[in-house]
Amino acid sequence: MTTSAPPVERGAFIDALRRTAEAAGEAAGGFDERRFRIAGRVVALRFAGPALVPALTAALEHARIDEPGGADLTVRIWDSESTGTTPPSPPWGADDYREHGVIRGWFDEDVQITWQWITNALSVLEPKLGEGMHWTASAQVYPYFDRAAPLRKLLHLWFAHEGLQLTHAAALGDAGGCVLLAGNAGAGKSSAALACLGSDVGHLADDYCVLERDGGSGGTTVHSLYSSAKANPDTMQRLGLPAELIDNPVREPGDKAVMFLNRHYPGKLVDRAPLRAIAVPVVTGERETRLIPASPAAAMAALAPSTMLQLPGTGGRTLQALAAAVRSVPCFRLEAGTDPAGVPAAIAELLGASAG
Amino acid sequence: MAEPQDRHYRLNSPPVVLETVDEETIIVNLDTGSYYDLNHSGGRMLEALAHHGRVGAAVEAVAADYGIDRAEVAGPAEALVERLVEEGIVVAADSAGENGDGPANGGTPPSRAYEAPALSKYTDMQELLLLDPVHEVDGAGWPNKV
Repeated sequence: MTTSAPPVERGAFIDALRRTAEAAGEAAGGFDERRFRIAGRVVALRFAGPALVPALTAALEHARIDEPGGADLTVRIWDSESTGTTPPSPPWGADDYREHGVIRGWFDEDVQITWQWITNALSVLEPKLGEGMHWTASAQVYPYFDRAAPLRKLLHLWFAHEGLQLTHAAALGDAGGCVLLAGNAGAGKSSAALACLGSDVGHLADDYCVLERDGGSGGTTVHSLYSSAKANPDTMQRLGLPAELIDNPVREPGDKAVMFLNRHYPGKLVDRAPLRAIAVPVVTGERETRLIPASPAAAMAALAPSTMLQLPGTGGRTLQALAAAVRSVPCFRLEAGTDPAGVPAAIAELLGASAG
Repeated sequence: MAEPQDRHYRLNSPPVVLETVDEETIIVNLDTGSYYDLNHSGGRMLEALAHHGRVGAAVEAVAADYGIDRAEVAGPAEALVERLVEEGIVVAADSAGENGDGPANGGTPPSRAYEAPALSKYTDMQELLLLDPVHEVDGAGWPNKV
């Protein structure tokens, strides 16, 4: 445990940052508030001007709500370039940027400050207050993976405070039940999710979803978070997905194509579903897709490290939450074949079996 | 140095976290990014070690759990503890105040027959933990990658 910054210093910096946010809002002619229902909670993103709206809301549009009222989490969002505002200088040093961008001395139960590299964005969460701030110098540099999964560190930390668990997994199914696909990057989660687009199997998540434990039943509810899906162009070609789906047709070498499924498959998106099974995808190169029972430990190994090692502030509680989900359902190895129809058939089989 | 059976250890937590599911234990070291799969007998030994502190006491507890002779457990257990120390999963502890009373595992008997502890290590996600390279800061103090 690192020593937290003194309360006076902490309060002064956060107050100064909040005043900068308000000044940015005034400079933009007022905040543009976008409201979203995420995991049953209302999240209000208050933008000072339009510069960051596309990058931070495209993947959340499917969850947007219009009704007025309070919010469980409110995040002030601004950039310096378009608002002409300058935030206070950081009161920490260059050596204080730690794993996952955690700012040493500024990360505890009251205040959680993280830095997002590449985007060069600062996120501040005060979980007990349900308030956050997100600032960057320029809105120009939001890479495809941040557009596909915006504000994920800040949201993860807030979810944790709410007793929810942001989880690195795809989720497929319908309101009656869903299957989690667990595995590290490249394991085949997205390919399997995209293979289901042309089937009757609905879509909750391509890469990140939110797990909520049902204390009464002992079951787990899976919540959709982002509408985005990412894929290599050759995967899209193999699955017969048209290039018109791609939101970033001009890409750097190695970048994945990003799609926002709400724009093209609005009827496919499922808001939440009870968890029925966990499958660990494996690409075999064989034509046929097969489902093989797997141990809960194999599912844990696919689910837990890839979730825990990419997010700040994880620990024993994270592992417990993921273990509870694994214990609640049967686990399988999904040997994904080259026939695109095989994966949705296997998912439908799992869901059908669990419903029966 | 004390004999292996008389040495004391404790779980290196944090950064090590673990959870046992269906009698297999998943261990994650949040500092190194390594994660591990420990079979049921190994998980019992680690749990007993974390509970009792002393290797000899943990060996006795595991032998009693499985209803087998202590001598069958002792050698593999010492080898496992050596691995656990190498991997930073457990660290040496004081002998005083480390020992728990009563059985580990809540007294639940194992459902499988004893087998030698087996610890599998995975490092494929360590890159997720790599610290960003030394960075420079602008005039206001905000960082940029070099």
